[in-house]
Amino acid sequence: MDDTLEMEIKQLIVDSLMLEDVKPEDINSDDPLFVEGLGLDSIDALELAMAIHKKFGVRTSADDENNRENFHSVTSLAAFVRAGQAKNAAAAESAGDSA
Amino acid sequence: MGGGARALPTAWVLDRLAPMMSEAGHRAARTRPAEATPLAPPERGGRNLGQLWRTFLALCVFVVYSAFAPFGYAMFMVWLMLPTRDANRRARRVQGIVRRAFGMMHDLLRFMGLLEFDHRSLIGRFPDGPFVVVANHPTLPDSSALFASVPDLCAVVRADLYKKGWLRPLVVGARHLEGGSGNLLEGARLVEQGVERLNEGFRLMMFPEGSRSPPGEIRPFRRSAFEIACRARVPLVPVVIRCRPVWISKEVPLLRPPAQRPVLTLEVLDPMDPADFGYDSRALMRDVESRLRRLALTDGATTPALENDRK
Repeated sequence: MDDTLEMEIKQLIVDSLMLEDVKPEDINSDDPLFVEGLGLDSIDALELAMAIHKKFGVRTSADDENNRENFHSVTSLAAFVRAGQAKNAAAAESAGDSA
Repeated sequence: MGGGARALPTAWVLDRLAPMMSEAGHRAARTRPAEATPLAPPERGGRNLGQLWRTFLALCVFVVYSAFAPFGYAMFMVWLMLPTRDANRRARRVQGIVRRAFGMMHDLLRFMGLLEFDHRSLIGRFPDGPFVVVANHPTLPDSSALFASVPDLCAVVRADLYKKGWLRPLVVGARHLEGGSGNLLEGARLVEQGVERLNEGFRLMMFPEGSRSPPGEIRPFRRSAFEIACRARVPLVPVVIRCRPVWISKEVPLLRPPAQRPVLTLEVLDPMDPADFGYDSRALMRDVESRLRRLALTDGATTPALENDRK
């Protein structure tokens, strides 16, 4: 399950940022995505955040203090997506209960 | 640029004194590199008479500005704190006042022989309408030189400066943009606001290195300026800035001026259309970065390869 989500995120990184010379399997899950490692920049972060919102329905705000931590690596992004999806599911459930 | 056609008293004295004061100065006055040469490191060692005289002049300018500027600024600030119905109209007026103030400052620095730069030499060098101007950043006065030369100019102000109570009315009034304070996704806000300013008809000045260049080097570029130009679909104007010898850089402070009068030159390259790069900000940045890197680190030389970079 976790490996599948991480693989989906790697594919999303390659597709949304149009990385020409990188394959999803080349990305190490624990390597930093920004500056070192994959060498992404803040504009990539913006595009990646939009792509994650579109694909997984998980949104982050620009002034969230945890952004750097959440976007550090594929592993941390997968944890962020799982937490966001769980939060969304709980919100939908409570909305269904109250309706 | 800034050719010093007019005779300026202290500048005249210093130009004749300084070469006599040091052997290095003597060589610099007689020779001019014909080929592209890497930038020399900043001068080291003891101070000579020319340096002491310039230090005294720099101190005078600093004291005069420190003594009188707060009063002028206080009046200006009161006006900026009053409510307005048209923030853009007021921003243009503020930018106009700032442009003239920086022009006067550069005239004073030139008159005193502290820095050779004539902002009038850049009149007509920039295109009409909105654009993004990007430049290397070897010294602090290069930003004031651009402010003095380009009307309707917004800039990105460091977050800590933007938040300072005494400066905030000015930077907000002039509709400058707040720089990032380290949050990874703040680039979104900067890009959005930059595009908004350009759509409102302003010009935008950005230093893609994010900080002043170390002497003889250029830091890796950041992409925000290029992304803004691509999204707003406006021209990008690269400017090559040279300050020889370097002064008011990270390593050479205001009160340690070099023996030679520093000459600040701004070489405005042809505007670039992001459409030529398929609105790919990464490709646009790579092109500008490599050209600025080559042109900025040579002393205005004219080899065929460098001429190609200027186009």
